[in-house]
Amino acid sequence: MAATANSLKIRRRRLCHSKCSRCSLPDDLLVQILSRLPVKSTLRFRCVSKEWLALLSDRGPHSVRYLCPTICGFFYRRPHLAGSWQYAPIHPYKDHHFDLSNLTSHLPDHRNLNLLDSCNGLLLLGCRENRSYKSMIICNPFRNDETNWVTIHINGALKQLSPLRHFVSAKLMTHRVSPHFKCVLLFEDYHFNEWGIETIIWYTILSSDRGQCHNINHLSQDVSPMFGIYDIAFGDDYPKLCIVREDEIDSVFCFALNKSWTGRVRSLLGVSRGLAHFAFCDEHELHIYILVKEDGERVWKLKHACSSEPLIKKHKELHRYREDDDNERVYSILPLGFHPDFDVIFLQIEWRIYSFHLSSGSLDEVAGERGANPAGEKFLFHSFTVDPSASLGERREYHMGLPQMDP
Amino acid sequence: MSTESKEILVGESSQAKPEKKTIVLMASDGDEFVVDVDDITNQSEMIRNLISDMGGTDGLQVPLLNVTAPVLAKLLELFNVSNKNDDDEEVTQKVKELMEAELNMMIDVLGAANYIEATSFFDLSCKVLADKFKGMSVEEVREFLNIECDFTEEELQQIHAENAWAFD
Repeated sequence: MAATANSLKIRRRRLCHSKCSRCSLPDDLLVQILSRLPVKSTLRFRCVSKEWLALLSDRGPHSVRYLCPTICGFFYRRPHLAGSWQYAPIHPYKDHHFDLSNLTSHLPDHRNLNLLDSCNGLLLLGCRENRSYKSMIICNPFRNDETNWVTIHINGALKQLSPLRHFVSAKLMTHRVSPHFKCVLLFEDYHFNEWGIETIIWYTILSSDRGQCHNINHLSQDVSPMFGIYDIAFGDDYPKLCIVREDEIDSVFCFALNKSWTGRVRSLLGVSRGLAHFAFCDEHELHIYILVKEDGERVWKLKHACSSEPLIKKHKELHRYREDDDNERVYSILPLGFHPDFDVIFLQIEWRIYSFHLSSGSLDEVAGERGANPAGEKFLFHSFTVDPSASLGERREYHMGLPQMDP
Repeated sequence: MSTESKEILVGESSQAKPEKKTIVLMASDGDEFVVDVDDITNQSEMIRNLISDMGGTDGLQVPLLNVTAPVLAKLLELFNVSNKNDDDEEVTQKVKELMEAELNMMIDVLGAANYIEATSFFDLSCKVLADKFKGMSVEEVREFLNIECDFTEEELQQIHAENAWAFD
């Protein structure tokens, strides 16, 4: 009797299975496919059904996260402190915070590495020596196999610069499909004259397909050290380097808006979804412009404008419990960076970092530290999109010389 | 249909290359497929390991309990395409065509490839499906895989709100 019941059950299950297999993927295959999807699709597909939500959610025994860490977020670090770079995700898996050094411990000289830039899932790290850099490493931090980083040895290291010149920053440029990269190194000269200190910015480009860099080029005279650099292709093969003086742009915009800005204006240049973005804000308003091509001309068009007040109000609701200590305080909103793929800008209020989604206006706290920030200091910030497949082909070492550097 | 494809395949491999070593794969319903050893070990890790464990291929019969004859025939056909071409383009195209024509067959083939550990083919097929899904809206996915939405309207709205960025 029991045997008959059993066999019936088996038969019924088989029938069921064959009926369902007309419409559904078995779980183990589904997981494999979902783990190969880009982040944005997986977020959208949380809506498909309860089963899919369980597979695609942040936590839980069935979550796909353990298969493939497709995440995107940013690295941040407080300036002037010797702390290490922290990673914070914005989506998905919001609880996935960690220290950059966890990911770089397999690299040579990893204790002396400092994050200089990130681009398309790759990081540019500089190896410090005597307040300067002797070599740089480009790596994909989410693949720690041996083959996934390259070292650039800078011959006649940066420490041999003339005494009045020093290294300012470096910018990494890579394409999603090509293993080639370019690094732009920026230097600054000090000159003393009757008006005080004058600075001149120079740059040189290290390129993996040319090997050596030959020229050091002078940037236009009036670029101040407060610059934003962005790489953007307008139909051309390789990104352009643009450097814009912050104050100058501010005044141009003030003029264009026919509006007088009071207080301290903060601005930011960046690239999001392949378009150059420019944000600027004071304690009253936040404006975002994009650079578009119109009739062969490049023009800045207003993309988004909003009052800062609701943002600051939300911040106060989250972090200020007493009304009284608060009335005198002026909050500034500091734009930190644009997300390369989403319609999101990162903002800092006090020492908290928020992601602000432009089209829906939703403000989410994503990272940060406690405490007030009366001086309006900004986090050092690099937004980062994980590309698990991003690679430079093989482990290689480049020996690149810097060009003649006599001022 | 199953017997037909079996005969073609068996005929092909046993007549065209009689000097080559072959093994027999047995589908779940007992149908036998004679395949070239090099061709199959090239694709399937499981069979490669099995052969090295057994120390030879003489009279080797591999029962594949999870794989039915039509599925196995399809899988071997795709392996053939993959073995003949150095790049993946041709076989990717074939997998795509199969997905558009007979999704369930493709899913069964995928399961079989997973079962016999045909890693590179499995990867490629998953990628084809993922590429298909990538640009789809939620409704399109539900329709494509015939999934029923078991959320209430409020639940949907909440998930939607939490993941607003993914929908623009």
